[in-house]
Amino acid sequence: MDSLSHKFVVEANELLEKLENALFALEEDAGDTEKINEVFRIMHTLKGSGAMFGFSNLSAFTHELESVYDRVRNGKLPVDKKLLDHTFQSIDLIRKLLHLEVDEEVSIKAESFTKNLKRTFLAGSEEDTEEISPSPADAGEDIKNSTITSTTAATWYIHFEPNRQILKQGSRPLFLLDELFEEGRGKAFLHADHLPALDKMEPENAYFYWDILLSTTLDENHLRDIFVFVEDDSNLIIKKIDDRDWLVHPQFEEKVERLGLNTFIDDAQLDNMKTALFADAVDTVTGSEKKETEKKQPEEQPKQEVRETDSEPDTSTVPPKPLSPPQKNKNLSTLRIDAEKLDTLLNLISEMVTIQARLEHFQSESKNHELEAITESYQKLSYQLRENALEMRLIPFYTILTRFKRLVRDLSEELHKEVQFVTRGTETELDKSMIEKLYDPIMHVLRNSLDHGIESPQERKKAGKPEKGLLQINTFNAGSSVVIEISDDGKGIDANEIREKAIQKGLLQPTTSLTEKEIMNFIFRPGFSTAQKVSDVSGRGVGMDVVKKNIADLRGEVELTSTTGKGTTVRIILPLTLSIIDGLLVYVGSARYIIPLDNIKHIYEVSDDEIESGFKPVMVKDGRQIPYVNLIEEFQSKSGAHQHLHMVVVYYNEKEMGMMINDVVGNYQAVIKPIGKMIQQKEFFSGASILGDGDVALVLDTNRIINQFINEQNG
Amino acid sequence: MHKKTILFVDDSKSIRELVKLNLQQEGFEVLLAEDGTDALEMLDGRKIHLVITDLHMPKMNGLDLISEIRKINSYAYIPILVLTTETQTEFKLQAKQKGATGWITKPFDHDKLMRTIKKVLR
Repeated sequence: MDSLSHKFVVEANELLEKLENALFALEEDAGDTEKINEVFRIMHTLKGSGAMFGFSNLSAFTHELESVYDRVRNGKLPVDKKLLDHTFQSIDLIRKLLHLEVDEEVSIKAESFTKNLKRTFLAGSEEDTEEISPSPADAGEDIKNSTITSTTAATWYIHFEPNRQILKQGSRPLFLLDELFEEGRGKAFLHADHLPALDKMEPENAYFYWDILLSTTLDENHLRDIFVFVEDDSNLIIKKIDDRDWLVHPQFEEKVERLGLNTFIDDAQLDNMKTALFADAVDTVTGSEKKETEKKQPEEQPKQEVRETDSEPDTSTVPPKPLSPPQKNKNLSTLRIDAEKLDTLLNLISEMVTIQARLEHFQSESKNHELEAITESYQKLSYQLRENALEMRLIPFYTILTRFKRLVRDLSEELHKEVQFVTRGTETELDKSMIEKLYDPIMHVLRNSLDHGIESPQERKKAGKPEKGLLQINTFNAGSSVVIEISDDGKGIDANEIREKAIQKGLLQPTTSLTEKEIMNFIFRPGFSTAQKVSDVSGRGVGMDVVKKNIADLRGEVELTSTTGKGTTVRIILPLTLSIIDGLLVYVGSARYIIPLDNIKHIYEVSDDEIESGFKPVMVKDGRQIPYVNLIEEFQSKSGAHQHLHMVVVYYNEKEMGMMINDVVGNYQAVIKPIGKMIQQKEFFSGASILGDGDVALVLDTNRIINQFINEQNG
Repeated sequence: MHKKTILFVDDSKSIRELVKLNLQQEGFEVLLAEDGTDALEMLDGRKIHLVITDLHMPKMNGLDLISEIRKINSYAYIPILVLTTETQTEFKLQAKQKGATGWITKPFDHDKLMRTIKKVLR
């Protein structure tokens, strides 16, 4: 006997002890329903487990006892001495049946006991008739049937309309379809015509139904088996429609597509399908085929003929092809273009803007009025062209939203959390290439929110929150930036925890005091993960630093704010476009730089004596103290012709900072080109742009400069 | 792909062990409970993908367990399979009305168990 069977025997003996005790209790109090139930359960367990572990005699024996006690607990049999006597006797027999090999003597005894038992207690009950309809015969037939599966695939029609409540029973209709398609080739037609109006729709109901064509070698019983759990309360039709395999037909997809079947497929349509597929085979009756087509599309017929004589004079013997639905003109207003072509267009425009800068430069030196007029028109046109081309590349945010919805749905199910996913401003448009690169970072943030942010329904209830968590994506335009806010109402991030961890990791001196916001920024440091335990979903150490890097690559920024117990908001701020920006061209020393115009708040003229080189340089302007960084010193610029001093005040993240430069040249449309690894102070720059005179100007990344500057101040 | 977790509820210890072995062999994470109340405790705060429960158990029986599980919002749609014996067709229906997804008829072997689980779990 293997160890598992042995365990069963041990357990059975324990059960028998309990059974004896229960019987004694019943002798005292025949009305003790709890004890009656216990006896029933013990018999039930012995029967079920007995069968599982191969004690078939025991299983058969206890089956009858179970039936008896089923009647007892339903009040059909009284608990009397006769019953208890029989049950006590059965215990001894059960003990003897607890062997895999049972003595013949014992089994004969058991059999006669069972007969006696049935006669005494089950006479007249439905259990009594059980012997008359023994299952072996049925089972035998079943086996016979199942062996006669044909070896060539036939085509089956399956209509499956699940009960609306199917999802609430944990069944997944798509699993069933998957299972079907494992058994053969299939084509499923999803019908949504039972979908009610939005205001009448119960989101938890299943409104879809399917018609399925399946070519399989299975027989009907096997196919029905697949639907065994749902058959009772679903509308299920399974019938063989052809011994041929329709789905191997080379033009199956094409021909069936043309029939445009989007509601219940009836027999007539199945016939149409057959005709469409095998029309060639019945070529000899072309005439009647033609007539049928005529009947269906009488108004189309003249056109059909015109077309035939027009372009295909030789096809007169071929049955006319069904005309594609007359909706061809409907979608002419939109055009699908290869994304690559748009990229090329934008590149060309970028080149054009660069050349425009040259033209402007040349014009300003030549002082030719005619040329000035031409340059101006050119500027105007190129600006429009640029705006237009950029707009073409903009696609609404909602295009990636479905993927997120799916993620939230799957993940919340997996985590057994309830989440309401709300999205706002999804029509906000972003550059196509940007949207693609946003997918992973947003996905990551959503995962974090679901896994670490939003609590389990139980926890939420305890915290006095609604059981359903709220996860939001809010997208909106802010100036020439697009903001994507992902917020949850979960447990939030404890700033103290972050602080502790930062100190632990040696990133922060214990004595340094930081604002909550600054503390939160540690989350974006590499290798900084606050999840207590690593889960499957998130917290694998690929953390927010990657998110930040991905967003920074798009010249965007990420911020995180969180309130303990209330939730977390991650804000992603992105430029509208990747490649062309409006900038301010300035001189620092003899070199020119571009500062993105959007970030500029103010430009002040500064006199020499206002400059003080201290540890924390500050300049007082308009009655405010503004910290500044002296780019002239910072870049160790050679002084050139431009000796004036200006302070350009830029702002980011509610902070403002001055940048000391020399002269301001003016507005400049900068085509940003990526810069290589050559430039050492790369973190200050987001790219480079070619100027009109052929020189290169670096584009300042003001956000990074501010961050760096502030970190230095703190460190 | 991470492991799916199955909660198996049966008052028979040996059956629990047997099923656990079989399920673990297929790479499932297995949690065991010996009755309904026990099972509900196991469900609390855990990620469970499937519940398989016997119907006759002390304290809380299988039918009541199903009703209770369906009351928990996050488990409202979790697949639940009940263990039945071939004579218990009426329980099959009752279980279904309470919200069970399907059933496994005892006795079952490894293949049958896996086939049935595959119907409700991917």
